[in-house]
Amino acid sequence: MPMLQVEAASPPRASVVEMSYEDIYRDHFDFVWRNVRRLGVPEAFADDAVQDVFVVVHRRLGEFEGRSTMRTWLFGILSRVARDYRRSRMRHDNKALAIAAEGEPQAAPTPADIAARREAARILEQLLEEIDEDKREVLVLVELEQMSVADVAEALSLNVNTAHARLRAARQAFESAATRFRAREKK
Amino acid sequence: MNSFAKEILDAARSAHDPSEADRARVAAKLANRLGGNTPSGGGGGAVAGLGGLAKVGVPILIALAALGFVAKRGLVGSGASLQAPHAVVVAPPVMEPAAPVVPPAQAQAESPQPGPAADPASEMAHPQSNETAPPVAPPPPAPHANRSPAVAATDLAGEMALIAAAQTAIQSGDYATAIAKLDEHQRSYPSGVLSEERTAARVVALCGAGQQAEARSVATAFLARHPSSPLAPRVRASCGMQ
Repeated sequence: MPMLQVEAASPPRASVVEMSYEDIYRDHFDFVWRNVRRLGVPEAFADDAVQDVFVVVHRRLGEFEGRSTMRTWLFGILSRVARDYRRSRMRHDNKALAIAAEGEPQAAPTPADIAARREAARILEQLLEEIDEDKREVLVLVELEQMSVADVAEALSLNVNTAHARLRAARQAFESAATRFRAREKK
Repeated sequence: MNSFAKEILDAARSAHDPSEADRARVAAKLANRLGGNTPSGGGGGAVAGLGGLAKVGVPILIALAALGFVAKRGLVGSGASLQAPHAVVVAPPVMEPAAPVVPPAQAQAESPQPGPAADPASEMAHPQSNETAPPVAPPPPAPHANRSPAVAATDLAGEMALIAAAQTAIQSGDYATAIAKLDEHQRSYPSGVLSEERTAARVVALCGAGQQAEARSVATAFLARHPSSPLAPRVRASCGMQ
């Protein structure tokens, strides 16, 4: 059975464990799914984008050298997939955008918790949409996935100082977007 | 960051978590795309490859694994029953070549409709497949066109039941019943996750029923749309196409 040599999450680079494709899929599907959505892939395209990520994982099993964490490696793949989807599908296909927007979940009247969850997702997506791609990725990983800046820098092939600077800018941009959102909601 | 921005982040942190239906649907699609197999191999390879489905229940897990098994074995090539649980256990650890990564442009070409849409291959290639529908009444609306994630798992079970019934009918030589089941699947789940299996099974059923011309037409459209499908060899072999 082909196995991956993957560093255990804790301590991050101390011990090496074997991880199969099934392990990766089982342990990281949720991570890939929610971040594909957070990086701006509409719900209508989410299935395809998530599949693309795992197809790449499937093909590149042998390339993972264990020098980074699995989530770092995965995010490098999914950020490229998400960018491709955003650029190739959305920017040049207004019709697809419109259809995708129609398919976005609206706040369901009941049950209340589902409605609140969808509303939270909708607001977050709206605010993230106002932030540059580069900043958005850093913000998502640090603030939502709670990864360290060092890991984020590795995932995105950035200098650590650049990642810190990008995070500061991302937080400011998100805060501004949130302020604008609240102002609109009050009208 | 101000408190309002933090509140939004806190509230939305788990808002994008997938539902069980999301996990099941993507796992089924991925298994199909990768040939119902994963690099792990092993006696339970098909099941292991769908490990993310653990939460959707044993029946669905077994059925999906069985579909993967069928895909690898070429639908009915071995005569193994779709519904026999032991078929999952004995699924051979065949390592299918990885499907090429589909660039978005190509992926879009494969899925021109981002929302619910029928499989163009099956729609355009077998126009007679709707002959079983009332001749005058318009086609019934797809009952699951706007399905919610909450019911998607149920849809998947329904899809699998119809495809399994069609496979059983094919194996027993009852091609008319098989075609009827596939028609029912197409009406109920025009953009279902098993539409590729439906079209491939239709080719086999039509060949068995002696409808060679339509079978070839459906097969041609299928191969144009799914050239790297794990079911493609079986479709090519149908009706002496190879």
